[in-house]
Amino acid sequence: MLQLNNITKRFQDGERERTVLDGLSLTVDDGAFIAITGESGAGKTTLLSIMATLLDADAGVYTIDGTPVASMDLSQVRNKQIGIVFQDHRLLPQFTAVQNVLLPVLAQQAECPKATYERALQLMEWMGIRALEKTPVGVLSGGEKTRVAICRALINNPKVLLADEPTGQLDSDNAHTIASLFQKVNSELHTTIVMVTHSDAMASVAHKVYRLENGKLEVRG
Amino acid sequence: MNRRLLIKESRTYYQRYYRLVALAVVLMMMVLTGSLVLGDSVRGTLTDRVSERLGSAETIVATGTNFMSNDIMQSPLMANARGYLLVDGFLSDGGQLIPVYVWGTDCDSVPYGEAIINQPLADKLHLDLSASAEGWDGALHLPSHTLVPSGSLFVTKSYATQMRLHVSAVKDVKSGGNLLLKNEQTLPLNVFVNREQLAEVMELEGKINIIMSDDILQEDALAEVWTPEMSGIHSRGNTLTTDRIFIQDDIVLKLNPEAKYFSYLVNDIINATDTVPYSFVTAVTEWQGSPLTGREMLLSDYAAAHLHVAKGDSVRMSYFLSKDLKRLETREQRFLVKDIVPLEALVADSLLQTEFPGLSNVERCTDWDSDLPIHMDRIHKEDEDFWYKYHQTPKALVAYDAVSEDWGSGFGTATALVLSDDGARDLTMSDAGVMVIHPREDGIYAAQHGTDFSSLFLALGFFIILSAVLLMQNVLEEMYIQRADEIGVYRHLGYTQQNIRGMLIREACGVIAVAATIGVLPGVLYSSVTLWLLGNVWSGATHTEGFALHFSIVTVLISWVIGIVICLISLLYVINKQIKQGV
Ligand SMILES: Nc1ncnc2c1ncn2[C@@H]1O[C@H](COP(=O)(O)OP(=O)(O)OP(=O)(O)O)[C@@H](O)[C@H]1O
Ligand SMILES: [Mg+2]
Repeated sequence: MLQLNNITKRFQDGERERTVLDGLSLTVDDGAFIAITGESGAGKTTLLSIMATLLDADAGVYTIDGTPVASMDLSQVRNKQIGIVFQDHRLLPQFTAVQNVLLPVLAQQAECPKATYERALQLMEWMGIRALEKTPVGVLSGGEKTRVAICRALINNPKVLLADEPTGQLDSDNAHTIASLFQKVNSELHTTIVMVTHSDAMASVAHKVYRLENGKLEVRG
Repeated sequence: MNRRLLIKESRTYYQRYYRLVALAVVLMMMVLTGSLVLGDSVRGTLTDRVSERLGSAETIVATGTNFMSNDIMQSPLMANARGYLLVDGFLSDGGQLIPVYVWGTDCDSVPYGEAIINQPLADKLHLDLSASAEGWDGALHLPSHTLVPSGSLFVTKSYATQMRLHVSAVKDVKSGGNLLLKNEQTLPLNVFVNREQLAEVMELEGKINIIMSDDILQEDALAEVWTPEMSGIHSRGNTLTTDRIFIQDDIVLKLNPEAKYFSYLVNDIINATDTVPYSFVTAVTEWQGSPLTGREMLLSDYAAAHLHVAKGDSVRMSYFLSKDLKRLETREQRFLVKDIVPLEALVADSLLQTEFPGLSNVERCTDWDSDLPIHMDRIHKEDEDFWYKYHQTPKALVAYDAVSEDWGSGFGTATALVLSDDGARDLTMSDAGVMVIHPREDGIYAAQHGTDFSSLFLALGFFIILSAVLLMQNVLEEMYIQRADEIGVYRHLGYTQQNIRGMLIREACGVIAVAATIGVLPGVLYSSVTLWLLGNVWSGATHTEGFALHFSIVTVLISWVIGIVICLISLLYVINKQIKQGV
């Protein structure tokens, strides 16, 4: 269970300060599938970054299963508990698709066990990109990149999958495919999903939809 | 799949940066290895040269300005030693005179009349003896009268002695052609001649002045076989004279003699209008049991008659001051004629007479060979007659203390001593100027501990090394800036800072290690080229005959390690800076 309590985040914008998150609170139960919408610049990526421990809140407490993240080994949290799909994928161009997928594995050990490699291939099969195993990611399409990024986020079996506009640059066909994949991940792998999206199609597959406005979350459906 | 593969893939992907890094490392290693190998080569060459110029000698016995009897070579101690008569001289080649060392040797079976020269001299003479079987004929100009140190009073410094020689062969470096006693880097010009012939020409029969032994001889052991007589110090009864004529002051002081004698050629003995020119006069502390003090003089009846003086009269005596022979000053003193003595009594006392080379051994005064300005026109028939009959018999004796300051010099303060007992036994080798040197250690020490050429060349190459390091740092920094996002991704995926740093270091280290290893080769090339330049184009700056490449694996290894350390430090610096900025 993720719990955000009274989270405030400000950014220095030139001379003046901008409060992006303003006393925001959110509880994400295990197995939940929530979507967050909001206007561009509302602070969705900021919120997701705080949840991914990539950004510190200025005020408020963020706990995972009751433990404040401030007291946790962050690289362990990032590696094991949370998988993240970035808005811009952030795949490393020098590696092949499968190598990108396996990057989180090699953070903990120098050698990737054969079983883990097999798992990566299974995940890719599941995501429909098994054939791209040895393809350098530079040549992949946007949808393929998103799927590689999802596989990478899931490779260590995280409790929570955070996704920042996974369908942002995709056409609606692709968006639908990704949406159903997320549904599958949530229902079959029981992975908690927090997803930022503009797309109604995506939001419709979530159990709960929030809207981020004025630094706070409102339930929409 | 493993991290090593990731590192390899990244290295390949970013090779456009790593190629520049490699170039910088090769450049740095080239200068670094090159400088250290250069230092080794200079040191090694100098060490080689020590061996070349000393041959196999472990001990050198040098007699300074004196000579030593060749008899010492009969001692069993000298089983592995060679005695040399070494003088400096000039070899005339066409119009020019080439300064050379002339080694009179028994060892190299140089036949009488023949000479062997070393390679540098052959080069200087443009001689190719292998081609022409005839050899080369020339003349050596040797110093006159070397038994008496050149530069002493009355002794000419000219190189009037000539020796014709026939150069028949070249003595190469390996067989000791470049023998040189001075601790110098320049190659000597050596002529090796038959010792007996050289001794004959120079009137130094049976004398040597250098002994080189392959054994390490200690001074104590040598002192056992040495006698003062060997160094030309003659003690007969209780008197002491020396081949070098002048007895050095420290020996005089050490022996504390009963009587001191100092023979001198004075310019004039004068009474009113009567003058006796160019007479030998002996200063004595006492003669025939009665001391001579103050301004007292004993005048020979011969001089008394010529000057028309009687006992109790006074005469003037003028002479050159021997302190500074370049600015010859004349001094005059007045002496009281204490007594008139028969010339026969002076003739009879051999201690009063000293055989000055160039003066004593000639028939007529006008044949005197001395660098002093002697006005021959002032010498008249009666003077020649006296010389013919009595040679260097003194015409007067004067009190020693009155003139010893004026006549004495660094060469000596007496020409004969009368000792209270057989005091000459107390004389040691070093009193006689004999030095025992173990040159190898000194020479090698000097070669090894002289100027640190490695640092010198490193300093010269410093800017290249610095530029290379800066180039490497810049390229790396540029690359890590390009890869800032990548570093962020690793962090987001749960890599620790150590993980990331380790991967980046391993990535760059592979390149650095390979480049550093490759860089050794141009390094050796760099030093070879520099050595060639030092030996040829820049030979004027080094005054040597060039250096040989001395290249040791240890040095290369050291420079490799130093290079790697420098690279690692700059790499760590750049990576840490980048990772900190990324946080
Ligand atoms: N590191 C930062 N420094 C300063 N301002 C920032 C920083 N990150 C985000 N912001 C600002 O915070 C606000 C929220 O940004 P954020 O990226 O969270 O918006 P978003 O809701 O994800 O927008 P979009 O839908 O366009 O992705 C923006 O105005 C942005 O300029
Ligand atoms: Mg965003």
